[in-house]
Amino acid sequence: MDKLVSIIIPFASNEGQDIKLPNHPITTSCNIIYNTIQIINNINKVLTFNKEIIIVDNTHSFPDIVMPNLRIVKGWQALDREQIINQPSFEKYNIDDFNNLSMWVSMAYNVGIQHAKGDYIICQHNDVFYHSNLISRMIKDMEINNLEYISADYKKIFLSGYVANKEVLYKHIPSIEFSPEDGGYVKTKAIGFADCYFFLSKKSFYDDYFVDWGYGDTNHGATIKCLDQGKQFLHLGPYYDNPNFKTENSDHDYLYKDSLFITHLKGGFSEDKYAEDKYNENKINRKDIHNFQTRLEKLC
Amino acid sequence: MFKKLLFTDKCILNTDTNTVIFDFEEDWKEYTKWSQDNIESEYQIQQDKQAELSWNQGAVHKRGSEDRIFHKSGHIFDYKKYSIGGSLIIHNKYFYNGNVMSTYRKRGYLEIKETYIDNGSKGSSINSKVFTNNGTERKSIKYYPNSNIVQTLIKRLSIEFQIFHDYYDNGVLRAQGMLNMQNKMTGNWSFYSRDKIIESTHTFEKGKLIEKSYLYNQLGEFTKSVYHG
Repeated sequence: MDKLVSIIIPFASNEGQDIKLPNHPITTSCNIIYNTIQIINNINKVLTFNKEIIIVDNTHSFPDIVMPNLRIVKGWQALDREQIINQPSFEKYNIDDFNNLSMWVSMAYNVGIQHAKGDYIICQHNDVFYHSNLISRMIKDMEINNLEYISADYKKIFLSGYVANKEVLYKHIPSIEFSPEDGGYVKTKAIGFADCYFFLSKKSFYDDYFVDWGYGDTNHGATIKCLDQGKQFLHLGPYYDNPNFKTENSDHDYLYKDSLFITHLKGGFSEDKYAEDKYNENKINRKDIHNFQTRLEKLC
Repeated sequence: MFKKLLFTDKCILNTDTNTVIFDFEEDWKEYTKWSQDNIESEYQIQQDKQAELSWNQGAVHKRGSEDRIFHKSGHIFDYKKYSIGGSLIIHNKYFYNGNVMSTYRKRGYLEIKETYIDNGSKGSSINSKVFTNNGTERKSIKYYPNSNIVQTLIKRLSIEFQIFHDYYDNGVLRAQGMLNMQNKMTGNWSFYSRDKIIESTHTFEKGKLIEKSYLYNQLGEFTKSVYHG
């Protein structure tokens, strides 16, 4: 494949602390830096095509290291409010709440997209592990089938996300049934949202769109954009954490055409799994940390 | 190698020669020496004997008001206990490895059913607990896997309504509100973040949003209200 692919990975070592949320756990920087470096190694090892890896350092705490294909750019989260407002592209993004974590995650991707030189862009988390190099095949399939994007996951629509956008969503899911579980969600298999665990599209996808946070999490608007424009897209299954679909395990392995493609290790940016301050006594959290590090070590 | 016989300890089967040796025979000394030299194997053949006795070809072991059925492994498979009047008051089921799979017990008018997840050598962990009274569900609790942390709790309040609580895996309340008996959301509902901050409030009638929803940011500050009519 001769096309350049830009892989955008946000990084934050203490995202909750930086925006001073009350009771928000503090993450342990060294773990997240180490894990992110392992993920970069994995990309360089498995994805053997023409690529650039862009780390968007939201908390300005990622080390100034040199690795193959790597560029580190500074995100906006650690900037002063005035510096953010004075960014030339600030008006484009409709930032309405500086205390919204999903907004900072989304904005990290948007900053990365500004710096990206690729024909195609992959937005991903810093805890996504590639098992196989299927990107070239995906891009070919996208071109043949006119797909706007391929994404993991297929997120459920939260009740509050529905309420905040009900005029838009009503067009696509007129018959609404709610479940109170999992924080309240819309019971429908008709629509699930894209996310940025893994999100592959042409760079031109962002000509009339930026990675949004208005539906309650990162990049759900990509799905709405395609539905509104009548464009095709593909979500990778199985659809973990979406109670409208039954999944047999909790490994977060995603398949592409029956081949094991990626594992979302669930322990990186925005997961708060490395909290030591408040969650020190939480055995479940410590178990998650252990599981994540064990899997990472095993895979990398 | 030896095998203990099921209903007597006064003889043993030599599986190499396929002969039975009685304790008054000269060859019995060979067995006792083997037994002393192979403590673990002796323990194992004793366990095998007990398992086979317990299994009893799958037949029920009846003792007083209790019935027990065993797997071939020797682990209990099914346990029932009856009251003096003959009604079932305890019924437990077990996985093949002996870990508990489900329990049922009757306490007064209340019946309590629990289901468990098999965690192998770590035993079982509780999955759900349901309280019923004369066939009517009074309270149900769902647990997070491999922990004793409550995920959802539903409790019947009247013939029309039940209260619903949903919790994060750190034990923090995630949502609370009322359900009608068809499990449709009704009345006022509140949702909270992992760090106990209000996220949204809504009003429902038979599962439909009515009146106004109120949305809050991650600091718990009001951001938006949406009218549903």
